[in-house]
Amino acid sequence: MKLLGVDRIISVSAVGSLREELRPGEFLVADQFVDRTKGRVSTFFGHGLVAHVTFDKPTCAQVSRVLADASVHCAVPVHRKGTYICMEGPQFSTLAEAHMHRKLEFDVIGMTNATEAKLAAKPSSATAPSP
Amino acid sequence: MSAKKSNGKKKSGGKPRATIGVIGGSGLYAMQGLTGAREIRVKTPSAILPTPSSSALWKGSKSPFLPVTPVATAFCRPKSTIALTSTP
Repeated sequence: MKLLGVDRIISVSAVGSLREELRPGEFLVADQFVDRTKGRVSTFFGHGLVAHVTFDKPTCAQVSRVLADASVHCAVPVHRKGTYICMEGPQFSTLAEAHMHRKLEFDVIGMTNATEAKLAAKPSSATAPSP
Repeated sequence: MSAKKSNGKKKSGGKPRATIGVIGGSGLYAMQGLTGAREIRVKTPSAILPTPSSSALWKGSKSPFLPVTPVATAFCRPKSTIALTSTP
């Protein structure tokens, strides 16, 4: 993406909902991630070079706003923020894990976006995952 | 093809422009509204891009789109996992 000259990244994924009010067919523009992946490469660093990248706000507020506004424009129900819990997969959660995620007040669950956001942050790209 | 490097803020007619990258995956295997799509193979330093990107015009913006091989079960091929398995 960086080599192609991309300035902003939009990542789209189907996710599972952890809340009754997040219904099928609706969009959620995630603004936070919890990364529970393991054994997955999630950085470009490590081969003789290490940097610590700021990641407290992992998505681009500007792109997120555009996406949410576009959803409203298209009459697609949209949730303007939410926490995406990223599981390793490929299995879905156990019932115990699903209950834990709900108690921790995460909003949606998937297997990709947290890793993408971390990788996108490295080459100075902005990302706005849109599950 | 040689990939262009981003040169920061792009201006066109006084309005800021940005090149948008869209990562598809479960639920998004193609994009409507793209015209002039062409396939581009990008050799990255990390060699983590196993599938070709396509570059296309999308509402006036150049937009590389990285598709993931569609599979029958939408959730069984996490795209990041695929994208990283070829890391040397």
